[in-house]
Amino acid sequence: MKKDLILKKDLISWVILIAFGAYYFIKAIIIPDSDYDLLGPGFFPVVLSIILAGLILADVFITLKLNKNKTSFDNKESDEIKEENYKKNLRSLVLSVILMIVYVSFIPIISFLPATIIYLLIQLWALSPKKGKRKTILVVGISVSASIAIFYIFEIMLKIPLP
Amino acid sequence: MDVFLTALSTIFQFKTLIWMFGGVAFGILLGALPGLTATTALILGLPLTYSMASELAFPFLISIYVGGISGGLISAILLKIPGTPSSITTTFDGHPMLQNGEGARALGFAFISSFMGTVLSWLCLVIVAPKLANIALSFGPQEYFMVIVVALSAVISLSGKKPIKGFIAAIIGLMLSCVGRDPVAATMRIVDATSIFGGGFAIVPALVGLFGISEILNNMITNNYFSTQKIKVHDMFSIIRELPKHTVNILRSALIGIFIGLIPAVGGNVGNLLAYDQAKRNSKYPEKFGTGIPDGIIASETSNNAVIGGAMVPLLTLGIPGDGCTAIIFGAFLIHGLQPGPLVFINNPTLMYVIYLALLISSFLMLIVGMGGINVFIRSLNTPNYILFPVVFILCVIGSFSANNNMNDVWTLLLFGAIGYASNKLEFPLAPLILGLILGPIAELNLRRALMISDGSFMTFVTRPISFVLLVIAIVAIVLSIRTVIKEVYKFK
Repeated sequence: MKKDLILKKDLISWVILIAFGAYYFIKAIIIPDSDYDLLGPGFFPVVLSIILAGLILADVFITLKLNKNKTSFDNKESDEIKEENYKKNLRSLVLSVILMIVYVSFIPIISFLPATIIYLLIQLWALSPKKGKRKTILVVGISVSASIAIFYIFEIMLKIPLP
Repeated sequence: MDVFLTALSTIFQFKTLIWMFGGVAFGILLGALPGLTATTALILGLPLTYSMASELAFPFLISIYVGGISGGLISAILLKIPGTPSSITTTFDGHPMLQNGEGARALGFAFISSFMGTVLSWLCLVIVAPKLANIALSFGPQEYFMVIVVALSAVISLSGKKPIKGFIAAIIGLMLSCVGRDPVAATMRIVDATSIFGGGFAIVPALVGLFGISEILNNMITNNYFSTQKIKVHDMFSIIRELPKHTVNILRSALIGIFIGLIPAVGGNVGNLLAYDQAKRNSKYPEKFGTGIPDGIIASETSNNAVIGGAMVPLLTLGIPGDGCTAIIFGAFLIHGLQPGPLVFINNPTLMYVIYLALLISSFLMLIVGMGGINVFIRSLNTPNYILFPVVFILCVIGSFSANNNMNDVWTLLLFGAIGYASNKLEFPLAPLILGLILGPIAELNLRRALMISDGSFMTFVTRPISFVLLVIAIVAIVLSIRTVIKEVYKFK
């Protein structure tokens, strides 16, 4: 079980790294040369992609070798517990990420203050463990007061432009 | 002398002192909250400095840094949860002291040790930094490139049990730093000019994303409630008479902290473990460690604060940030139109003195604010995560947007948040990635300049003595990393 978890993590990293590295390499080799210097703008990205490919291969080799040898990777008991908690909280996590993306997308459309109030209302409502009327008062109160306080401090007091 | 007096009059302005006072309090508050670190405190404080003069912005940020590193001791002692990773060993003896009815003494020792650590590392900064900056002024592109190679190889070799993951993270950081316009010919690379990331990745939103968003995601969905107790402030000061007998421990721990701070990407979390271990080994009563004795707290808190002065040395003299906190301060330099490095000592000496003085004054303020306001900080520990972290996210959005008034930077924040979260989950260290991202453009520019000077000959890195020495250091660091990997692989055969 422990080994499976580790292998799963490694597999995910390899897939992400290979996809990223391949995309990057394809984009790097088509960078046009320049007359400014000998190396040109493409040299650094191409060399880095090649080093990354070598490192991924080395990582695959080392990880497989270590797993085969039942290595010191086994001290991962706490990781299993973390993994279980992670699954329990997965719904809240996914919701929070979606809310973050939607919030950022809506800022240019409905402006900062309304977007922030709505974001906090939904985010706090989703995460708050409280129930009933108290929850409503708490969530609405904090969402509105925190948004206005942030707006006032940055936009009015410090004259820092908000999105 | 005139420069020093100007700096002195700048820092002792009422406005500056008030901002520093607020910065220390804010840093302690966030450092005390489990899940929030000094880096987060700096991330949240950074946007407030956008409209400030640099002579006010840096004292404010440094005061947050000192407060943030110190604040972790409060929850470490009271809750047995280190507020920041650099206070891990403070829990070992701090919490048992609390259970033995000596909570106020434990906090007193911790605050005074933090103060001593900061002041001793300040001494190091003031003595070493100008000398190192003088040496760095004679560096050509060859030496600069090699310094960066050394910094990256040190980070890689110190990436725990799997240096290869550190290596990969550093390369990813370097690769991401190439996105956008090339620094020499301004040619577009990897993305199109019209794409959302066509301007490349701005450093501040990328840093905020890497550190802030993954902390938010990790903590937002967990519930917290702690029961705490009130502390008598007077009892904390009663320990001052006992300090002289801990002189050796304080000095040793401060030296360890400073040394660890000087090395990129190691930071306070390693410093406090090393210092605690050394204090135990050199103690006449090692068996008492962990049962609630001041020696453990002193070692831990002196060393983690001593890291501050140490980490500021490579940042100010070479423009190399050693950890998350100094990376954010690096970002602040860029926002204020300055390139951290030896030239700041020449072009803006007043600012350098202001930074020196700010570190010293912050350590005094930390002592006053931390000990005086202890009961306020204790009450704040019960702010629920589900309220705190969404608000922190909004502040991260503001921080990312306001640096350049650009909504694309907010998307950079989210992208790097995802990268940071994935790195944590897949066990890739963040420090090499950040260092790669920050140092990538500087490394590439200096490599290309060096080769322009040498007509394309790579021998230029070997024929110049400093460059050659740095190359040897980098090779040794990489060979040691490879040796670690080989030993790990063949250990079980």
